[in-house]
Amino acid sequence: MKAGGYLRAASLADAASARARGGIVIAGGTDIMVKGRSRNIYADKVLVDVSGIGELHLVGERGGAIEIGAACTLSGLCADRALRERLPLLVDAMEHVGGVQTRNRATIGGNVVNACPASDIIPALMVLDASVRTTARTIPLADFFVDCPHCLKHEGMYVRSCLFPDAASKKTVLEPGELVRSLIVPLPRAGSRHLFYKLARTQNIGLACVNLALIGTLLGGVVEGLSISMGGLFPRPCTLDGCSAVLRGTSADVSTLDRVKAALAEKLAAESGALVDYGYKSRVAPALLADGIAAFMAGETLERKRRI
Amino acid sequence: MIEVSFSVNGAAHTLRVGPGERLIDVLRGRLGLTGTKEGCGIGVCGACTVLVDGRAENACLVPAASLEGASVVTVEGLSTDGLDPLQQAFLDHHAIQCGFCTPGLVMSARALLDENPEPTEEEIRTAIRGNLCRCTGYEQAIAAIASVAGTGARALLDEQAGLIRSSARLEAGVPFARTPPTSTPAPEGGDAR
Ligand SMILES: Cc1cc2nc3c(=O)[nH]c(=O)nc-3n(C[C@@H](O)[C@@H](O)[C@H](O)COP(=O)(O)OP(=O)(O)OC[C@H]3O[C@@H](n4cnc5c(N)ncnc54)[C@H](O)[C@@H]3O)c2cc1C
Ligand code: FES
Ligand code: FES
Repeated sequence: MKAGGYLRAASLADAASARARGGIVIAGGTDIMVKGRSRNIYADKVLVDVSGIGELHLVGERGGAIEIGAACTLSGLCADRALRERLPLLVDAMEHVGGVQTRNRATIGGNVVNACPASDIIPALMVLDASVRTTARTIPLADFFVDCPHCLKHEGMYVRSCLFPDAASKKTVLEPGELVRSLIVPLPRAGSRHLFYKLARTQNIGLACVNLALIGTLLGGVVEGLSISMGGLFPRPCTLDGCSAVLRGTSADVSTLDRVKAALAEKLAAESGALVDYGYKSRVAPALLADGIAAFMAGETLERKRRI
Repeated sequence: MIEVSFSVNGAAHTLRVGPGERLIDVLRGRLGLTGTKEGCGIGVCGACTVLVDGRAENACLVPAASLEGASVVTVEGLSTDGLDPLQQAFLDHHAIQCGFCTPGLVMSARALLDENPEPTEEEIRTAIRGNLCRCTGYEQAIAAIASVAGTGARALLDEQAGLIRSSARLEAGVPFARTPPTSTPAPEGGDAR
């Protein structure tokens, strides 16, 4: 792969000023190295390596939320006992990313900034109501992304990464010179239950075709609150608030689930011209959502039972 | 060019590398360590797996310039004296056909066993999920790894010989299955955080 330079940034300030001069941030490189090789798009760009900046590796709990440094690797986070206990949905989603080799390099901040619509981590962070802390401000994750209809034309089944050299400026609200420091993830309410499911072309290490993250609470068999996000379907990550509204106060019986499916189908119809494989996804996504909610209500998972 | 110092199989190197130069190019092109293979070049096949500070990583995705102070181990560095027990096990279990995936599989297995000497079969499968093999069907490799692992995986191995199991699997029409870690929501009212 060709690049115009390589800077091992010693501090956030160094990295931010190199970024302001047009440098491209590289953390684990699992997106950058793939894009750079396939398209030779960094030949005149300085790669700004942030993986050596100590601040970006901190994980801590403060004020009912866990703050996770942007350059923490997925493996490191998945191995963190406290995190497994406190944010099991996020860990579950991260364990679905690639294989061991990928997770050993891939960072949580890189995954969020790369903003792939089929990311496994973003839907989990969305339903957990996470925020992005940058070098300048704190932004709710829901406001962090910019619509990218191009993604829907190629993601998932076909290409594993977006086509744009600089995902940060194309797909997020980050300003030139602004870096992600950490993700702030509020702790779920006591008694919450969650579910993550990844539907992929193979059961190997590929990206999701569609994925689903749910978290919420029940009270006496009735949905008290449920937050839902699905990846691989929309030009920007979102929660499915219309579906949640249908479910609230119900026991998610068959007729309610039909209305939830209809609400998703309607939202999805808006992407019919943009989404690759719309014919397949528009059938599979509502079914997956209904199955997921049914499993959630029953306290089960959707994963195939282990068979030895 | 960027100067970077790191060790490969215990030997210290200080090299001037290009800003986008990949670890795999340094290993194969500059150091003559051609045991590490390049299959896909995009992080998918695992043929280029090496250990970086003890962790399995894809050498095709690692910028050489990022390696300041790192310790890299390739398949050539597994043993200075004959074959590593894992390599011998791959031979004994006929886990090699064309052999292109083998160095990567062996390195992924080494990383697993160094960290977890007694993995379960499921842990072995998870550890090599990022390694594609077009030839063997994986069961022999899993058996080879289990044979040098501690008791947990051995028990499984004794229970059912790998080949028998894989043919049963074929009959059942089940492909090499990813069994991702499951979330286990607590029963209603329970604390499922
Ligand atoms: C074989 C393979 C399989 C994969 N499978 C999956 C999968 O199943 N699910 C999934 O979700 N993803 C998958 N991915 C993608 C996943 O590895 C990446 O999205 C990863 O998390 C990105 O992190 P990184 O540190 O490697 O990012 P990099 O490649 O270093 O950077 C990614 C982007 O983020 C920017 N960036 C990084 N850190 C910062 C920061 N602190 N501030 C500002 N900008 C920053 C970079 O400039 C770049 O645009 C896969 C990748 C590969 C190679
Ligand atoms: S060559 Fe590196 S993963 Fe395929
Ligand atoms: S032995 Fe041929 S690819 Fe594995």
